[in-house]
Amino acid sequence: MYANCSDVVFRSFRIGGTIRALAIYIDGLTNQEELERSVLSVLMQTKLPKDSPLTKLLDNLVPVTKSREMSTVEQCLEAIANGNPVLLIDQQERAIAFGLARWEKRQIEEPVAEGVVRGPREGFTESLHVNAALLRRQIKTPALKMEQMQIGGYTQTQVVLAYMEGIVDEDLVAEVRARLGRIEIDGVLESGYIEELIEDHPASPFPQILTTERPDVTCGNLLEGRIAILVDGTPFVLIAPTTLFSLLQSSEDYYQRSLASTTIRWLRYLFTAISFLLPSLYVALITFHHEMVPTSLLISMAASREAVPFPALVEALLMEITFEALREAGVRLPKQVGAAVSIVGALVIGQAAVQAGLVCHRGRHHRDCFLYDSALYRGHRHSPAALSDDVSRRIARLVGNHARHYCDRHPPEHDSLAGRAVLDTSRTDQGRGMEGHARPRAVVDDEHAPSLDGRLSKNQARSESEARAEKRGRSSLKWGLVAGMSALVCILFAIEWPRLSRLPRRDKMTFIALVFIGWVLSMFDLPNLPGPTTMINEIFEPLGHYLE
Amino acid sequence: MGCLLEQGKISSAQMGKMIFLAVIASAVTAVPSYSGKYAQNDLWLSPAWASLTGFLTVYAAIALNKLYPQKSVVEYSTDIIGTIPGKLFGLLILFFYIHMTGLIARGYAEFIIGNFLPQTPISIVIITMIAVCAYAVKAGVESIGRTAQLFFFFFMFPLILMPFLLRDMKPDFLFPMLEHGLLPSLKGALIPQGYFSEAFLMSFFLPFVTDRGKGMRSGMLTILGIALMLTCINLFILLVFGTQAADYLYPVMVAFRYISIADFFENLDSVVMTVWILGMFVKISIFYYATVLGTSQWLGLADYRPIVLPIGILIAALSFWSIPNLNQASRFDVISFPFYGPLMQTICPLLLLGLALLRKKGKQQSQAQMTMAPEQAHTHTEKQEG
Repeated sequence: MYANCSDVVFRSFRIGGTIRALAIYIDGLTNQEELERSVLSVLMQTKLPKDSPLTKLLDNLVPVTKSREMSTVEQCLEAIANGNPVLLIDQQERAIAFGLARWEKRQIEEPVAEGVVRGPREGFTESLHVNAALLRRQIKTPALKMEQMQIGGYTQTQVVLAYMEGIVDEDLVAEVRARLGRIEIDGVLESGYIEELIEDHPASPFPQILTTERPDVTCGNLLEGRIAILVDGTPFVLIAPTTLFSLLQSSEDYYQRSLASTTIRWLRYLFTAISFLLPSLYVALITFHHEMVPTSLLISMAASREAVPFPALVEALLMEITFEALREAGVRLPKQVGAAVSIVGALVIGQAAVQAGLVCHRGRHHRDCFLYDSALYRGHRHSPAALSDDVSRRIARLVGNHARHYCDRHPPEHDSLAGRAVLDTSRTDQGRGMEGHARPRAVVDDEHAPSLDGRLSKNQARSESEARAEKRGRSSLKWGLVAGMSALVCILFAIEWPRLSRLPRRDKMTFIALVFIGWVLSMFDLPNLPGPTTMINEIFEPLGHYLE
Repeated sequence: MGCLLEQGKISSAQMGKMIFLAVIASAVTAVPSYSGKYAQNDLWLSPAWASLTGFLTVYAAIALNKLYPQKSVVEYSTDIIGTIPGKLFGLLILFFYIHMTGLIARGYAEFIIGNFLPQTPISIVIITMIAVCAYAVKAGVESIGRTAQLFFFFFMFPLILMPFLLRDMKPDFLFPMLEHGLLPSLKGALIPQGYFSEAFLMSFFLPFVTDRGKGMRSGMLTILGIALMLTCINLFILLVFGTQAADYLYPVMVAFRYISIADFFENLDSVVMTVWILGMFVKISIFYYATVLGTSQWLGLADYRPIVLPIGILIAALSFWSIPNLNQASRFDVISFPFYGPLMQTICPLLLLGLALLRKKGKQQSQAQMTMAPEQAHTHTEKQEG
C-alpha cells in the first residue's frame, strides 16, 4: 500500500522481547516523543504472558487516552492518513490505532479579513479540531451538535455540520445533510468548493452562503438557528442560510449599544448603495442630467472635463478597470513589490492620467468612492464573502453604467456640458418661475390648433407624399411588430413549457388561449381602436357630466 | 383552493402596507389636482370624505372574508349568488382588475414620459415595468408583501422633505374656509374615493394573512393613514399653490421642484420620482397579482405562475387600447373611474355581503325550521285528533 512513500515509517519491534509487532505512522503527522514514551518503551519493557488478549494490552499497559481497535485494512489506512499511529501485533486479528496525531499548525490569530474594534480577537485556523473546539468553548450546551463527514474522493476532507438542536429548523439540517451527501468530488481544498456545490443558484454571481473566520460570528449565527459548515484545512466557515442583510452585518453590531450600531448599520446600507450606484450616477449626471448638479460645481466640472477627450462613460469605465487592475495587483503581488506598485499606481499613474487629460479631476471623486469602497469592505464588512460579493457587485455596476448610458438620450444640444451649464444659470437667474406642466388640452385648444391648421394647408402637397412614406414606414413597422410578437410568443412557450407540461390540460389551454389573445390584440392599431375603456367611458359619461 | 395555488403567507401589517402603497401610489400625484378642480381651497377636506368609501370597502372585504376565510372574491361570489351569476360576477371583477392594471401602467408611463424621459417611447416604459412586476408576481405573495414592507419606509421619505417648503407656504390660501358650503369638498372627494375603493384588493390577500384577527385593525389603520397622508399632501399643495393647484397635472412634482436646501439639494423631484416609482411598482404588482390569482381561481387552474407572462401581454395591450394620448387616459380617470371603481369594489362587495348574511340567516332559519318542523307536525296532528 504505502510503497514509494518515504514519509511513512514502519518500525518493527518485539513486545516484551517475544511477540513481534509493527508500528506504522506518518512522519510529521504523529507525536513521535509520545509514541516512544508511552507506547514503544512501555511495550518493549513489559513482561507479557503469551496469547493474552489485545484489550488487556490497551487497558493495562498503554497510557494513551484515545485508542481504538481496528478490524479492517481501510480503517487502518484512514487512521494512518490522519496521523494516528497503528500498531500491528503478530497473530492478532485486530490492530490498534493510537490517537497521537499531532502536526504543525498555525496559532490562533486575529482574523485578517474581519477586524473589529471591540470583540474577541481570535479567529479560526486551518485545523478543524481547533475550530470545533473554539465553537464548543463558547457554546457549552450539549445541544450544539457537530456531525462529521468526509468529502472528497482523494483528499478525504473532514467536514463538520454544526447546528443547535432545538433552535434550528430540522428540515434545514436534513436538506444540508442531503446536499452534502450528494457531493462527489476528488478533492476539497477550501470551503469554497463546498459552497459552490450546495448553494441554490450556482450560476448567480452573488454569494448565497455567508463565510466567516470569526468564531463569535459563527456562534451568533448558530444561536439564531442557522447551520455552520466547518471544513478542515481552511479558516473560513460557511453559514447558511443567508440574506443580503446578514452579509451586511458585522459582529460588532451586537457588541455596541443598539443606538450606535443601528446608526452604523444604516450608514453601511446607505454607503453600500452609494458605492454601488455612484459611478453610474456620475455618468448619468455628467452626460444627461446636468440640472441635478449645483451650478457652481457644474461649471468647475465642465472646466476640468474640457481637456478630457472621452465621454464620461469611457472615463468611468477606464477608472473602473484601472482600479480593478490595481486592486488585483495589490492582492497578488509579493509584499515587497506590492507597496511600490500601489504607490506608483495610485499616485504617479493617477497624476499622470489626470495631467494627460485621460480622466478629469472629477475622477478624484471616483477614486474617493473606490477607496471608500475598499475601506468599507476591508473595515466594516466582516465577511470575506466580501471578495466574491465585491466582484459580483462590481460586475453589476459595470452593467449598470452601460444601461444608464443607453436609457435616455436627450436632444444633442443639451449634450454639451458647458452649454447646458449656461442654460441652467439663465434658468435660475430668471427666478423660480412656474415651470409646471399646464394641462396639454388647454394648450392645444387655445393656441396651437389654428396655426397648425394654417401650416397644414400650406404644405398640403408635401404632407401627402410624406404621409405615403409614413404609411409605408408604418406597414414595415407593423410587420416588424408581428415578427417581434411571434418571437416573443415563441420565447414565452420556451420558458413556460417545461413547467406547463406537468400541469393539467386546462392550464395548458388557458395559457395558449391567453397568449393567442395577446398576440392577436397586438396586431391591431390599439390606441385608436374602440375598446373596453371607450365602453366604460360611454356607460359612465352621464354621471361624469352630472358632476360637471 | 386559494391555499393550493399560493403557498406564501403574509402578516396583516404587510397586507396593510401593500394596500397603503396600492392606494396611495397613484393617488398622491394626481389627487391634489383633481380634487382642487372641484373643491378649490377646501381640497384638504376631500380625502376625509373620500376615506369613508375606504372604510366601507375594508369593512366589506373583511366581513366577507370572515364568512369565507379561505376564499377570495372570485371564489365566494359563486357560493353567494350561485354558480353562473357568481362566475359572471367573477369575470366582471377580473376584467375590472386587468383593465385597471393596464390603465395604471399607462398612467405611470405617461407620468414618466411627461416629466423625465420625454424622448423614450412609451411602450418601453410600460413593458419594462410590466416585466419587472411579472417577476415579482411570479415570486409570489410573500415577496410582494416584503417588498411593500421595505418600500413603505422609502415612501415616507417625501414627507420628511415637506417642511423645507415651509417658507413657500402661505396660510392665507386656506381662507375663506367652506365658502360655498360642504358641496365643493364633497365633489372633490369623488375622485379620491375611487382610489380608496382599491382597498378591496385585500380580499385577494386576506386568505394568506397569518394573523387574520388583526386584519380589521390593520385595514382600518391603513385607510386612516392614507387619508392622513393625502390630507397632508393636499394641505401643503394648497398652501404652496393656492387654488392654482388644479392647473398642474402633477402638482406634487412641481412643489418638490421648489425645494432648495442650502443651494445644494435641488431638483428633489427626481428623488420623489424614484420613491414614487417604487410605490408604483408595488401597486402594479398587487393589481397584477390579483388579476393572475383571480384568473387562475376563476378557471380552477393548478398553478398561477404559467399565466403570469401571458396576462402581462394582455395588460400591456390594455394599456394602449383606445388610449391614443394622455387626455384620453385622464378622461377615464375623471369621468369613469370615480364611479366604476367604487361600483366594482365597494358597492358590489357590500351587496354580496348583504346577500351572504341573508343567506346565512336563511340557512339558520331553515335549520331552525327543520328542527321545529316535526314538533309542529306533531302538534298539528294532535289538534286534528282533538
